Amino acid sequence: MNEDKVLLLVAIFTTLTVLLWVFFELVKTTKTSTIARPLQQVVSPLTSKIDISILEELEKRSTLD
Amino acid sequence: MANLPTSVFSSEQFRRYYQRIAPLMKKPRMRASTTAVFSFLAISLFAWYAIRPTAQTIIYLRREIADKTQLNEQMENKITALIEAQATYETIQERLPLIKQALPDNPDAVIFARQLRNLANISGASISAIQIPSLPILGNEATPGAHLAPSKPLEEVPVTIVLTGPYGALKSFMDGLIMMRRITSIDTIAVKPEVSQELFSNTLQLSLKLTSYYSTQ
Repeated sequence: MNEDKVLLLVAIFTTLTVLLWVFFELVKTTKTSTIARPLQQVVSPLTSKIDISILEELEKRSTLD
Repeated sequence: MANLPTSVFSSEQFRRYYQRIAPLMKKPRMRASTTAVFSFLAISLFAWYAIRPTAQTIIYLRREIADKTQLNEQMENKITALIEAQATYETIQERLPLIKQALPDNPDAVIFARQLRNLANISGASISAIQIPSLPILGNEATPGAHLAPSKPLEEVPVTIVLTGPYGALKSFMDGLIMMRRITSIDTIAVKPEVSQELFSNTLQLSLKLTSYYSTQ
């Protein structure tokens, strides 16, 4: 009788472990990006604005050459 | 026809095993627990070998679609930004040398000293002394890995200059220094009357410690 219970418990815990393992594997797949890191760097945002006021300020100054 | 090893299927060993199991399986509790155990094992096997790979593939593909859509959007934004940057760059291309004049690639100590001399001439002050420490001569890297060594984006050129002249001339020199295109910061200023034979001399001595910069990147 006890052997039955032990076997049943082993089966239940095995199933639980497998289900949890599957769950965490799926969570990991969801969280992992499919885009390679070099590509992520390539598409990083670029600011196209250049501070022209600095150039205007420099233009006003003298080179003294 | 060859004799089949029928004795294998009806061996004494299996018969005895079956004879031992058969009465046990007649008990309802035993039958229920055996069914449950095998059901759990079947669930585990299917979960690991069938459900997991399928679900993983589905989730991976969904994630890939989302990532690629986002990537496409980011690339379009980047292309737009690059086109804008190109247009801005073309607009200011003529004025880019100004940056090199303000922040040269190498110390340009001689040019800096000449600029200070010209400024002193324009201001009406005279330079008593000018001191520039030894500076590195920039060139190509001696070894292929030399450029990997960490360096500061800006290097300093410390300059000490001593001028003499009336107050107005020295003030004009200071104003000119502030308005000079080459970026220069004034670290210390010391003004004292110049020692001379005349009793009421209005000549002053101005000592300046300056720091100019050059870009290494």
